Amino acid sequence: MSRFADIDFFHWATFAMALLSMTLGVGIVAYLFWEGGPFIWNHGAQFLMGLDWFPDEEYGAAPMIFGSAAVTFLALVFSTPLALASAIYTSEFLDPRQRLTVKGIMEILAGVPGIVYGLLGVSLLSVWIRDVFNLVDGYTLLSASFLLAIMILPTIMTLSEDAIHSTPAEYRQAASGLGLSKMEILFSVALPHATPGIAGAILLAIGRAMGETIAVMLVIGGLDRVPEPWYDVFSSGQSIASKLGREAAETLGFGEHWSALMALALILFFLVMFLTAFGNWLIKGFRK
Amino acid sequence: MNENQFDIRIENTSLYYGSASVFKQITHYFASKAVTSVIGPSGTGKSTLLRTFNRMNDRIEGFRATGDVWVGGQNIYEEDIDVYALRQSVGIVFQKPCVFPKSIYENVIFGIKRLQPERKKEFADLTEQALRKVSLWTEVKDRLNEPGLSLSQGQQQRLALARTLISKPDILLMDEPTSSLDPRSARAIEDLILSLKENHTIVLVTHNIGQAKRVSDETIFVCNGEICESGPAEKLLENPCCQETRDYLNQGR
Repeated sequence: MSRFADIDFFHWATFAMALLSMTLGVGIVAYLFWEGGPFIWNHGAQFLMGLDWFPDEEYGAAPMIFGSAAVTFLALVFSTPLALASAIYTSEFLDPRQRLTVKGIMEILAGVPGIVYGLLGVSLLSVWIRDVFNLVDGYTLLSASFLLAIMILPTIMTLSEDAIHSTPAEYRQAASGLGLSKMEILFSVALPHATPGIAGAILLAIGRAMGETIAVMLVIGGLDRVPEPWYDVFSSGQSIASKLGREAAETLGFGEHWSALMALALILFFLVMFLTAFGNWLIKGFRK
Repeated sequence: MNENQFDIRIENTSLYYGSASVFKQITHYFASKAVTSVIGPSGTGKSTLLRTFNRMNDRIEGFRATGDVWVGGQNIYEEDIDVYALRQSVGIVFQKPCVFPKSIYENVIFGIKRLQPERKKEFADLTEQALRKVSLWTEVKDRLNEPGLSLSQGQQQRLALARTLISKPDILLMDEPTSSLDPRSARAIEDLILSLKENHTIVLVTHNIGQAKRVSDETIFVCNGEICESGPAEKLLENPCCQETRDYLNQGR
């Protein structure tokens, strides 16, 4: 009798904890909607396309949206070729032990806190960029892009490597038996097999780049404007995440300024959630 | 006897993985335009031997071959051998049918599309010929663009064979080609082997004694790093003279 009572208790206790976790997750999303949703609803295009952000006067999110898109895009452009080349080398040319060492290092790098990258960005990267390009200071969209490129490199590299390495040995063997060289096997067997996984890796990296706050905040310059001309990467800028990081403490958790920030957070949340979910789906889906 | 009439000859060949030897100083002339089956206990290196003939073992770290391995008139472990050309003239079929996640047509032309792109205009004809050779043409001619993976296991193995045959190899290596198939599909492959030996020298690794009897002309029995016994299939399988062979054959009864 008592044994069954124990099991009952265990059942209900774990159920309650599971329910609490679920509620927290759903609650956070609901809260974001509650706080930020009406602001987007009420201001619509004026908010999304607006170019100026003056608290208590007007709230235009375009510079932040532009900033996030620009630094993420550039980070990918810098990072992806490098990451893919290293992934190919690691998967195809290293022996199993060397491969695991490289992957171990990459996974450690992927776990380094953003603030550490941020500090390196301030002390080294932004100084180099200032000197190399002869700028007044090194806090630019380009600096943030470079820093993000370094931060997402291990993610793209190690997940792409997994995808390439998971090409079934039978495929390689069959292709090799037909007389294909290692290079041809890579391009006509391994890479096609790995494409969904590589795409997933890139999406996860985009998610990480979009959400990265402190490192970007430290080097992007913090200027709420779309550069003039728009492709001037040597200009200072602002991303959604860096804007939130910079201003969240200025508001008191209510009022219009707060609602505008929550609206930005809602946009960021949905972008990152979508990218991460889709990226994970690609990575897991193709492994089946 | 002129030795050049043999497509495959091994002379004093030893095969090693690292310092462990798999075969020591073996010599055998494989009958041309005939089926030679290789039988023997598991783990004796039958597949290793088979894969020596198109240098598929090169990919394995530590593998080494000494002595002479003559295939199609060349000593294939010499330095200036074009391994990729060799593999086109020595086709191989594996135990598990391996079909790429592509259409039936793309599977058949998988190799030549990349290795002989200049013959693109002939691909359709070559595909038909190859699929006819493996008796798959009538089954798939109206669905060449459907995924190769939609075929049954037996059909997939025939597709893999067609993919190999399209580059017109003289020699076919088969590594237990029916062991993952149902009996009916296995019979279909055996019939193919019999029809292909007219134009191909075939070496077949098999664990199935019945199959060895049905399809092979010659049989070699390998055990303990050497070829214990070789000879006409019927004689060796019915009336072996070596004790190891007798023990092995008796296990299956």
